[in-house]
Amino acid sequence: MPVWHALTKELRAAGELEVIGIVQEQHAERTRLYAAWQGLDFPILWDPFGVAGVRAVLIASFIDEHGIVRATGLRPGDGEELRGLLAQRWPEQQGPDDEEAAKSDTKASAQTEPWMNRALGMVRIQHPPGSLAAARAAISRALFTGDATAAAPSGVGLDAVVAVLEERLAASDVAAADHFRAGVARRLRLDSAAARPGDMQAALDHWVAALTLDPGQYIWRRRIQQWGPRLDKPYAFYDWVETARNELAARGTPWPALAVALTGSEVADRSRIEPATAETQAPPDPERRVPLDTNGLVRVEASVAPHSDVAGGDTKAHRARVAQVHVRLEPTDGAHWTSDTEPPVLWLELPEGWSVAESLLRFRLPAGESPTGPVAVDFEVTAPLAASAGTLRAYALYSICDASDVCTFRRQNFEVQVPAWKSPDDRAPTPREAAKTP
Amino acid sequence: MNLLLAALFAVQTSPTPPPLATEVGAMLPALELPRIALAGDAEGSLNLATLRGKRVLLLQFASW
Repeated sequence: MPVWHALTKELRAAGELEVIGIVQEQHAERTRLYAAWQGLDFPILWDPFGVAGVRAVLIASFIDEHGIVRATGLRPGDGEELRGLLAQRWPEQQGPDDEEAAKSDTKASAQTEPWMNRALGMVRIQHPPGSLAAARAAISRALFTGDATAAAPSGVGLDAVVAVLEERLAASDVAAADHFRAGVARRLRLDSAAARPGDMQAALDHWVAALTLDPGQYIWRRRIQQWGPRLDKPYAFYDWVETARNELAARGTPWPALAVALTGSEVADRSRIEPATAETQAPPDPERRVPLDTNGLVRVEASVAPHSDVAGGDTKAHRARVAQVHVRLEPTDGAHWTSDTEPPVLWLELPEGWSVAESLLRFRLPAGESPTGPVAVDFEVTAPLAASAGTLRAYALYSICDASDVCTFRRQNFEVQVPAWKSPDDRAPTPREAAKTP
Repeated sequence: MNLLLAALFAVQTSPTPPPLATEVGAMLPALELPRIALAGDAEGSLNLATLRGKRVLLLQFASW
């Protein structure tokens, strides 16, 4: 992208060319950081729901003044190809007749819903009165502001978005894109103050369902890989973020921390060798002396991201043997963390033959003396054989303060079920399939 | 049906809309998307149809 930016700078300044970017990412704020770091100053549009329908990036296309695509799959090279296109003149009649196009625009404008409906895309079924309008409004706020939390704090808006998109999944003509967009909505809600239990796993399940129906859709595959195991990654997704923030700070334009913190999986690099330290680590509470969190001051949620090959489309040797487990701890009922003590830790007990790089993981608390937000860690787990299901036993230890500001050190035991994904025919059921299961 | 209408209605009538601007000869649809506010920019949206009259390099990308 920086190459295109440099190549077109003079052309844009001379008024000979407009450059428009469309970014296929879940989080707009990361693109904003990337653009600031790289000095990109052309308009960039956000398409988290994949309305543009592209199946892979980067795609560079040249559009003439009549709105007709004249070249696609351009490579920057030395700019010769682009200059050649700019030197050409296309007669107006080679594109659709302007009058006809104008009529089409008017007709389309009159007949279609606002752009929101196109973002939702699949809304073709009956909805309870008001739900569609609420979904549109919420998605509008989220997308136009580039901030998923804009639909919060009530959460009513994003709840409606999720309801509308998941309702669509029960339709007889449900499409692969419907599953993908339902996953995007779930993830948007997870990243908002309106997060609901199960949002992360539902997002992953929807994306796996979408990719199973269309394994060649690499934008969808990347969305799974973003939170998936290290060995499923074609490259590190967001390893540039720290460098970008450091360089911006050095330039005198410090960048705030990302509102949606990066997970370990999102910066992992498949070429990096994980240290095999698990066997030398000692459990932090082997005698079970730490009292259990019987008041439920912290809600624990685990989600499992499979290798994207479970959806088909590839035959890597690691297929279905590895998964990325995401564990999230969230204070409830007015409880909050305290910065006066060590951050929470997680201890893993694995079934025979399963492995992780580390059995003891440490959470990082949000900034502030009494933060209330969720904390998360993620780790890669390897099964002994392809298609092995397993139950990981785990416990978290944390200092938590209740609504009266009474702080205690507590333990919470929980289990993580890792399903046996072994092929596209043996994947996690979609919500629609699950609903049919007695 | 012309390409503009096809693109506009694609997501409502077809399970797999044609990818944007990937077919030579196709018309850029009147697709409106939110604009990511960069330094000095206001929040808002941009409809691709407003680009008529200009020569455009459309870059579809991701930061990863």
